[in-house]
Amino acid sequence: MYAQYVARRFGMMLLVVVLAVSINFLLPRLMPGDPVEAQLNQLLATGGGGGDISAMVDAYRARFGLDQPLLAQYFSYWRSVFSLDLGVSLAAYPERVSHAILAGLPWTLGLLGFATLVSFVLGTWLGGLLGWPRTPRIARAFGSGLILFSSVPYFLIGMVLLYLFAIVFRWFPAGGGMPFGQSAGFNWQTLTAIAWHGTLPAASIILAEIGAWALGMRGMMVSVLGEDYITLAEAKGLKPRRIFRWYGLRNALLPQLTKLAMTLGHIVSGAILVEVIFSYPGIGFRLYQAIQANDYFVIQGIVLLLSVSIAIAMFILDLAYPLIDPRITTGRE
Amino acid sequence: MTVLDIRNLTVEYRTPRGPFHAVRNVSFSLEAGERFGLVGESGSGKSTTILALMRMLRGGMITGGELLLNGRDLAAVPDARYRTIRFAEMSLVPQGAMSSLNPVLKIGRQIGDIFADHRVRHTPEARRRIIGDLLARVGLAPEVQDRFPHELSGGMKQRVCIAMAIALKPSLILADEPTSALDVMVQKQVLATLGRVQRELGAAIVLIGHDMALMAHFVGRLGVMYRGELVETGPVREIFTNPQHPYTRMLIDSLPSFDRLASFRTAKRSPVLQRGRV
Repeated sequence: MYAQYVARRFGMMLLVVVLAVSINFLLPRLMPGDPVEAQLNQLLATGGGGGDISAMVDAYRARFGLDQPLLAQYFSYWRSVFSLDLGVSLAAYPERVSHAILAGLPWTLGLLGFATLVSFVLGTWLGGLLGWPRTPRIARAFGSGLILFSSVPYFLIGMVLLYLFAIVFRWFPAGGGMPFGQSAGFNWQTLTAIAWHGTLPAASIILAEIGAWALGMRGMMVSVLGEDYITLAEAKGLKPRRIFRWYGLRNALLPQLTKLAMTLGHIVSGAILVEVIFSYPGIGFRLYQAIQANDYFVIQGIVLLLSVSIAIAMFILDLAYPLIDPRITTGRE
Repeated sequence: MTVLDIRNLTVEYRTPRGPFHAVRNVSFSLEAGERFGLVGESGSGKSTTILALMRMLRGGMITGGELLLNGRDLAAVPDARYRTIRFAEMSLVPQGAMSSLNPVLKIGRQIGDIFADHRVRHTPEARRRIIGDLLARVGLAPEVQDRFPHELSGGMKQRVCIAMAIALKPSLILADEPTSALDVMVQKQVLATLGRVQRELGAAIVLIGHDMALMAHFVGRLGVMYRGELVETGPVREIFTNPQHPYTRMLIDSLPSFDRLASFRTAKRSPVLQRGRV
């Protein structure tokens, strides 16, 4: 039963990946304009040159394989995806796209993974408490105050934090992932430096996200508390703490986990604006630079990474869901 | 011995248009092992009476009367201690059997929680055996404790609820339309099971319902509620042969009798239908 379920979900994931790769291949080629020509024109304009560039365009086309028929390009694109060769950056020419992604990925995964998990745990817990009638009024008021933050965009919170704690009080660095010139190594000094640099970006994301998690959870909690099994649990004389945790929270959690998996799938693209504000060396910052520089291959590479990782996150969620909600596997018949 | 004595119970809901009396001046009592039926239409205050006993009124409050359970005045029990009475002294068999079990916990765990929160300690093996015995008593296999609610049929779920209700051997069982979500054949079986375990336990039972026929078979005494008031009480036979209140008469008249069944059949050949056929 479970094996069949896993196979089905795995097939679904493969389908999503194939579609994502195909769309990622096709879309730039359907767009009007020729990236090579545009790039060379820009290069010439900044270099002060001019004149006929058609020979250069042809040379570059041959270099990137753009002169071949579409189907041949498609298959060679698949080959390069399998060998993790995503081409070279146009803006920072000899650098390979895969290298650019690998350089930024650990920063982004660390920052957003941490911030997302913390805001998920705190927000879900807070939302559960807000939906629980026995929660003291003071806790309720405090929680509602935190929810207010979710109506402020996170980059705005980031700018306020940056101004207050990096410029006015000077408690935290204003940008970067590490002090300049310090080489990364797996030691205490590196870890504290990373944590110190990551505090403000992480705090701005957490403050902005907590409210969203809490709001969703509160709504779910309120609707779960109206269920018959809560009434029976109370009639059974169970302790309020047990009803809250195992009858309320445990059931209200299910939709939150779906949302968490989606969010975790998205984190590889980074929190672009936060990374830009704090000049954080993650994928988001790199994507921002690539878009500004019309760096097609980098954009394409990051988008591909994004779609594949969402597909994988959903697959992992599908695997975990039967453990969390027993109705999932057998509930189909 | 008197298990339950309700004297002049009044329950009030505050509404924007002033107080609404959901239950007014209701009095009845039950002896040990007695079966009492409470009938009446939706909104007549049957369920509210039970919820008042359990002190689980949502938004309503008891504004008058006395509730005595095994001689103890329930009004004197503080909210924090009321939890320990529930299921230990009076238990509830809920109305919505289909949705009354927590979907994410196994049956055994949901029964075990009752013991855990009423300070009944067992070794894990003893707990398993006791839960298995409880399930066997309501006609289920002991292995049902390893199942999740969605793997059970409606009748099985209601049996699980009955097993829960007798777990702590209460002296009073409140059954709020325990069979209304089930189909007719299963209704009879489940009700028979409820009656059997109640007799074995020697507990008194209040059965709520609006199916007069089902009631007549199950209870000894009947109370008829109408618009928040208990308009009539007495032995079933007496109420059926000599109903005092017009509403009771209506309830009894609503039952299909053999005479009227015959008239249903003849209706097929009624002139109206014949004209329709032409």
